[in-house]
Amino acid sequence: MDTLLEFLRKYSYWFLFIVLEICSLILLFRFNSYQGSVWFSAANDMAAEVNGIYTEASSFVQLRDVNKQLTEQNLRLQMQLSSLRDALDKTMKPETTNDRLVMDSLKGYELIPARVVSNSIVKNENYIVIDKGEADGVKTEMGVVGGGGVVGIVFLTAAHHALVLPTINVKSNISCRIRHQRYFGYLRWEGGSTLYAYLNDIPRYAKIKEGEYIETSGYSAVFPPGIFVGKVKSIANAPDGLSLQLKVNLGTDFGNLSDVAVIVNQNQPEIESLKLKLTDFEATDN
Amino acid sequence: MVGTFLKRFILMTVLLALQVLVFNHVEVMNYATPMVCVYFILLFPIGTSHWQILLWAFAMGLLQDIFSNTPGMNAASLTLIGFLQPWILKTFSRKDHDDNDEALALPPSARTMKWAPFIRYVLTAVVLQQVCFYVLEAFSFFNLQEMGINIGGGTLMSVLIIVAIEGVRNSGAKKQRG
Repeated sequence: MDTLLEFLRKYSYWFLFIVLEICSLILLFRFNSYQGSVWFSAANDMAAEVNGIYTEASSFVQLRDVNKQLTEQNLRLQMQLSSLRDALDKTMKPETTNDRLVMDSLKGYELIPARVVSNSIVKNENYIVIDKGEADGVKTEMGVVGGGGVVGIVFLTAAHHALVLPTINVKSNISCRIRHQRYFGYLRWEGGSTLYAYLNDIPRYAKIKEGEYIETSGYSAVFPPGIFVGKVKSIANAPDGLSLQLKVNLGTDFGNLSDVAVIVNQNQPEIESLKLKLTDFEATDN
Repeated sequence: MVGTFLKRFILMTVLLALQVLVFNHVEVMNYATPMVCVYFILLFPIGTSHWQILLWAFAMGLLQDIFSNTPGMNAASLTLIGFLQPWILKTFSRKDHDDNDEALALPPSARTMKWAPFIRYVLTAVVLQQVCFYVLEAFSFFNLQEMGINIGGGTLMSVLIIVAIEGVRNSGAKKQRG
């Protein structure tokens, strides 16, 4: 510290010299128009140069942020593009007769439209996830239909999503009948191709032809009667030899499933409460 | 102390008057204008504090600027000379003197330094001052030839006049002693 003070004291005249020179130059530039203008333009050039360098440097430093913004924007635009493309597909796709028939058969029922967000077709126990859940009114045991007919039954629900047990799951078991006839049976899928399932328990004496329509029977609370399921592909004897087994060409293309609807059955709570009462009754009876 | 100050003040006033009233109007061939104010700064003896020289030099330059309508130019150039004067003087002063020689404490003059070193001393300082002044005046190196002529002519005239004044003072001092 002392050395520093000593140094400053010894060379203080340097500061005086600089101060006096600065005063002189200020006088020079202030009171001489020529020197003043030269100084002004030179200073301007200098300032412009420094500003230019600063701007370049700061824009280089900001590249990371700009990059991030562009990535976000790109993502947003891609999402927008994909949703627009979907909307376009939806409007461009002509409604098939089958679609119209299925929708006609569902007239009078409350439907909750939903989108498939996850789908599997290659396993024996396939599941579908849709983007509607309890918050939208979806409950377990509700039927799910698509443009091609029956899709499956709601198995589990979360707040905004639901797990659907589709026809092409070996656990699936849907009561079906043959259109314009009273014979009914249970539709089961035995793995393999997703295009075919089997309708069992049809009496041997039933007169059935290939190409006849299979529809829901309405014997459960899940589906209302008369919803298209598929067409009879071939007729064979059941392994037990007591009934017929119909190979059914399913109306729903599970490999290409996007828009479905959940059927809200108004009577379901009533039926459920009856069932509950029955269980209670049996419990007290025992 | 007060005596020294008064002497310096009188010398400054006289030189300033000469410069402003006479030499500023001397323009040999439109170029060479003598500047004698630098002589005032050259008379500070070795050992004078830098502060003192700088302040005197600045004041001298400022006054000359005020009377010659050249704001800043003389102040800047004379302050520079005031800053460099101690080193220039050391370079040209006689090396055979002892440090405690009384001649060192006297103002530098042809008598104490001998004529040849004194002229070299004056020449160096005047060249520096002229270069500084004309660079500030032109404020560009666009017309180097004209600037060179200005500096050369101004230096020649200034040195001649300063040597003449020194001669007059020298003879006056001799007479006083004689």
